[in-house]
Amino acid sequence: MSRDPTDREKLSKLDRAIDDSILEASEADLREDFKEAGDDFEKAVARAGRALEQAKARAARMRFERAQDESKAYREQDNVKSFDLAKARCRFDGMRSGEVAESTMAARKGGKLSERDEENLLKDLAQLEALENEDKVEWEE
Amino acid sequence: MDDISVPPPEVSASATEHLTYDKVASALDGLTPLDLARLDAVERRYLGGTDFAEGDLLQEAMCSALFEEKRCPRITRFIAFLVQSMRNIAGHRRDHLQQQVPIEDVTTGGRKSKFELKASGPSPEDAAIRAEQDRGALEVCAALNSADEEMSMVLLGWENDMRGETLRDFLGVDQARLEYVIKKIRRIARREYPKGWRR
Repeated sequence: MSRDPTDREKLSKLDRAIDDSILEASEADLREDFKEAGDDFEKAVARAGRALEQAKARAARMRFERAQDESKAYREQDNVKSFDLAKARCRFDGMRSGEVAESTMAARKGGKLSERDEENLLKDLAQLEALENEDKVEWEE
Repeated sequence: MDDISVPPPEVSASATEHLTYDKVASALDGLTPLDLARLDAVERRYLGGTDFAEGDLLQEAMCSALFEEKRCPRITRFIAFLVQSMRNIAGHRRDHLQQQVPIEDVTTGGRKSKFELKASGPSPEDAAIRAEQDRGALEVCAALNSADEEMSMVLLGWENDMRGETLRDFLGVDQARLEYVIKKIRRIARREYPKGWRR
């Protein structure tokens, strides 16, 4: 059984109908509408045109920022892949043997690392290397 | 009050059936001065009860189409899609603002301009807001309906989703007369409710 629409639902329907009538109105009628409301057709066009330009500028900015983020993420990912796992391995071996001064291996009291620990540590070192390289590039720029 | 009887555009379109960024951008570029004037006229009808300045609501609708937050089905007329987006965005904004309560300034006893969000879920305040909106809607319906017989008939037809020929037959008038009555309703609505009937 269908119920009667509420007043709010009725208003929503009226809204859509009035909007439709605006979308279907001729230019002459619309000009008259604006004039009768103390407004101006050309001013309305300019207002909406400004909104359009601002929307386009906002979208362009957003796309640029997204592209920047993606490019940064790609570079980082690429660095992690290629960054010299061999170099990181060298650094790691140095840390393990105590040759590298910044070594934090002491925290583990010389205990043997699991294979997984070692793998993660290598990745961290590689990541660190990439960040250091990036810092260097930014500094040079 | 949101557009409650039509599903939001993003629900009805699958990924392959909606306009992508490039298509939306080109549809925006294709808007004529007449389209822009129409969008301006519609926008002002939904500013009431929101904190959108002139042009902001339209800009939001355009951006949400560009960012594909609201997806325009390929089969939908682009300008009609923007209009529906404006209705929905304004409705959500209005609801959001009504969900905020002013924070009492304890030190001065006055009201700060800051707001905080109320806890989610219906509350007595929500019910009061809803009742107030319904009263407002009732007043508007009554005001429009009392204008004249032909206008009342058109409004009744619209409430029952009538358009075009069906509406013309319902009124028993020709197209020119129907257009005249509709124009009258549109102008009264703009005069009496310049920013729409929502508060």
